[in-house]
Amino acid sequence: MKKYKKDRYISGVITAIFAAAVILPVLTLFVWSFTQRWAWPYIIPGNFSLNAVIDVFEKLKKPGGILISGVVLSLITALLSVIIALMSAKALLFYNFPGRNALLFGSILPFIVPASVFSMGVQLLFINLGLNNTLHGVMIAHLIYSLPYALRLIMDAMSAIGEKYEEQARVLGACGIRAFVDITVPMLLPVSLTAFCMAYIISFSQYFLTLLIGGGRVITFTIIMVPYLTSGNRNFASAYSLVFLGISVIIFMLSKKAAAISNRQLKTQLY
Amino acid sequence: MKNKIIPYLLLIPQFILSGLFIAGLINAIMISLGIMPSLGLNKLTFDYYIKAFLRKDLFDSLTFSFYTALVSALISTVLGVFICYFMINTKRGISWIVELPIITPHVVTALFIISIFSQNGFIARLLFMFNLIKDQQEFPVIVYNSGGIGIILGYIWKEVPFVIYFTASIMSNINEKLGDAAANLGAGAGRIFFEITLPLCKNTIISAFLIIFVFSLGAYELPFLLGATKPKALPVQAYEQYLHPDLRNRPYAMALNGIIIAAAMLSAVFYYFVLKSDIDKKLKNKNLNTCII
Amino acid sequence: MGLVIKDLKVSLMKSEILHGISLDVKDGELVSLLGASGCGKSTLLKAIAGLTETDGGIIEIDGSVVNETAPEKRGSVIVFQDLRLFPHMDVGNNIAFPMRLRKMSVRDIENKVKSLLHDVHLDGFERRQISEISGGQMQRVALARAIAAQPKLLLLDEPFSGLDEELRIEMEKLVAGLHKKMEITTVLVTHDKREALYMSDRVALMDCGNILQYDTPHNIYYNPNSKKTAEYFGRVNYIKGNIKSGIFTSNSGIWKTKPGDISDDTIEDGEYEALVRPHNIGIIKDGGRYVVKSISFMGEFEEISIDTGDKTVFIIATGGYCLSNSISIGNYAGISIEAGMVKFLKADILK
Repeated sequence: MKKYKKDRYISGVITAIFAAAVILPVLTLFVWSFTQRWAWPYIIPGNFSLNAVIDVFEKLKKPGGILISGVVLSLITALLSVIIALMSAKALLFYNFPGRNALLFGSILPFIVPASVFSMGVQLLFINLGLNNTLHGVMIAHLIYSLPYALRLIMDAMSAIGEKYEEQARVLGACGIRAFVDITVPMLLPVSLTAFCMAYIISFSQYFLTLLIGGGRVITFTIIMVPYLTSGNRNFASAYSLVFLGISVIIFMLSKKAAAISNRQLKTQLY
Repeated sequence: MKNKIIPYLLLIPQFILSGLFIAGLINAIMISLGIMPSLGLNKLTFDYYIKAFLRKDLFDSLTFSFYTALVSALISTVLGVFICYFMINTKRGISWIVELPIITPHVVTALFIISIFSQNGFIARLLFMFNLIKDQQEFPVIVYNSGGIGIILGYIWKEVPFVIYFTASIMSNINEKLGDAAANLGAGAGRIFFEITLPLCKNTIISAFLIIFVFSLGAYELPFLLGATKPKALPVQAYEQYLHPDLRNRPYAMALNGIIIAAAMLSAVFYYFVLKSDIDKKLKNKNLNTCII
Repeated sequence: MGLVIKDLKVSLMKSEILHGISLDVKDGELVSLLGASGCGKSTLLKAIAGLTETDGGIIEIDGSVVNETAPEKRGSVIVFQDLRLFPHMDVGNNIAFPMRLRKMSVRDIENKVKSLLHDVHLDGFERRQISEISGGQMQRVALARAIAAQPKLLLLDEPFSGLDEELRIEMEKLVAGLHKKMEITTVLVTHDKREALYMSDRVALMDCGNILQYDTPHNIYYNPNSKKTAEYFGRVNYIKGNIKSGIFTSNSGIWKTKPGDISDDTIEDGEYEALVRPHNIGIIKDGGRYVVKSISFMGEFEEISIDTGDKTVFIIATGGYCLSNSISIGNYAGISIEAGMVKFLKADILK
């Protein structure tokens, strides 16, 4: 019993140190975002200002600006990732067909081949296809990189559920598509939402891929943020980071909430 | 009755995306082997790969990137597994601490490292406050350090949580199922970790290591934002060669990329076998449970 | 009508599991597929329902060949061993699922769910979550859901095997009652011989992807066509001998093959083995020349083994028989065989 208590204590301390290492840097964002000047060697900034934060919201408010290319682009990419991952996972898990293993291998490749390598290789092809410097071109490039994450999550969950509930739905009179949509998809809803978030994050975090395929025309958060960072504008860089990180966190929390609510609704719907 | 055409229909978008991806890779590899018809280069050659090892600037990039990737991946894996083992014992509801760095883009991570570790960063100011240094310049160059310390720190901050995220579910499963049994048989905490948890999580841990190793080998953002001007990391060097006004430098870029691809492929093959054996195991169990009996 | 299967072959992962199964189930009949695990009975069920591809043969449900028909259009509904209640729906929605697929009105569905829940003794359970109900209740929900699909053919895949004995008997009674009331053609897969004999109109005994025998419960028990079938239903004593003009002669006695008849010409002369169930043999206390070897008391009955010199004969008597008749181990005793309950199998078939 005593030993058990000691274990708990060590666990607590290690977790606390880890949590501090994660949270402290994020806290600096808050301070820097509202800072005008922070001269050496003061530990607290000299004068606070809302300039940087106001600038972010001005840019976000502009119609057709970074709200579309920065947030909506990633949201659509994430949605498409989940839909495609559901389709691919079903095919890869429950059908045996020639080429299955090759495709399984191909599907995990972007996991492990860095985006910089891919973007330099594919830029010419994208130019030839007329996809370079376009929103949909960037979306396709992001999709290639976010899909493997969504696929892995959904395949894990789908193989755990197996085909048995779909089989049951089939013999009860549901056609294949109906069984998939009515039974498998709702059962995979929580993991689909996680996959959605993951895919959103992957898309939203891309810098090099967006830079090369977007050619500087498609302005996402990273494309806007990096020049501030390289030019030493820490307050603007921080404000952008804070706002966009905030959007990501909100999307994460909304998805979790949505999973819980939709689960509840599905269970008690009236026929 | 399962229709033969259904899996292919389901996989159409996957085919297109994987096709584009493979096309990108093949194009990179072709160029790295000296085949660039637009410039009239048609002869297959390994010159550019050989040069990658002979030209000092290219070779320095190679060693620098392998070094930072290896060090950061090793530290992240060990730390991640270690923290994960302790974290799964504590209460739930702290998963957001792990998720936060995963959500955070690399460019923001770079900002953190600069804000905290640069010569006028938070730590330098703290040291000054306690009179441990008298001047900014006395604080060691961590961020744009030619040994890549800033880059490694950045990767560790991003990747330790990734390792935890990647291994937590399997580790807590094993602990729940077998840890109690082992403790019941009289095994201590350390013994359980090294003799039960670690061997059973081995595949997952190795997969996590490979993913972050190859990622940090080829990722552009952190070395671009936190690296010294010399030596340049592989992707930074490759992009520089790629952007070179003389297009005949492109094969050098692609040769560097080709080396990253080779490392990635080796890891992918391994990862693929791990993934596939897991899936097959699951499917086999499923069949045993529902089909035959 | 009903179900007709002809020469059905099925392979799983390239090895043949079913080697040409033929079976016919009459309209409204309840048939059991009985066999040990791994004998292919569940595979047969899945093949009938269209969940497994077939290599050859014909499956006919209600007069139409369904080999190429999608599972949902066959009219065959399986209640699986693991029940497969949809965890994201409550009890009512689970039962309503097949009716929603048929686009019944909300009011009709509501009434039907109510009456089905009444049939399975779960009145008022509509809004319960699957996670909130017991194993036995889940079983009944699965059954109600299957019936809600209005099956032409109901396939039950070991639905009672997970239950304790009391619940199992209750569920068997419920299914038997529902079957009688609704007259749905039913195939029940089970490895429990008692359940198969008690529930079914006919029993098909399966072994290694073949049907050994398909007959009424009484016939399959007393008229087995092989030792394998006989032994599946319990211990059997074999007595070697020969038959001449309806008289069986053996070391253990001589008797008529058809008691009462003077001569029996339905059975050919030759070498035979007589199959006698242990409970069709009596023990005679006095005047025997055999030795009582063991007595195992098991409550309702007891098993006695007797050494006849060249073999051991097993006898089942009511529990306590030996004690009340003061028979104990080592005593000499004789045996009496109920001649009417003996099955003769020709010796050369057995080899």
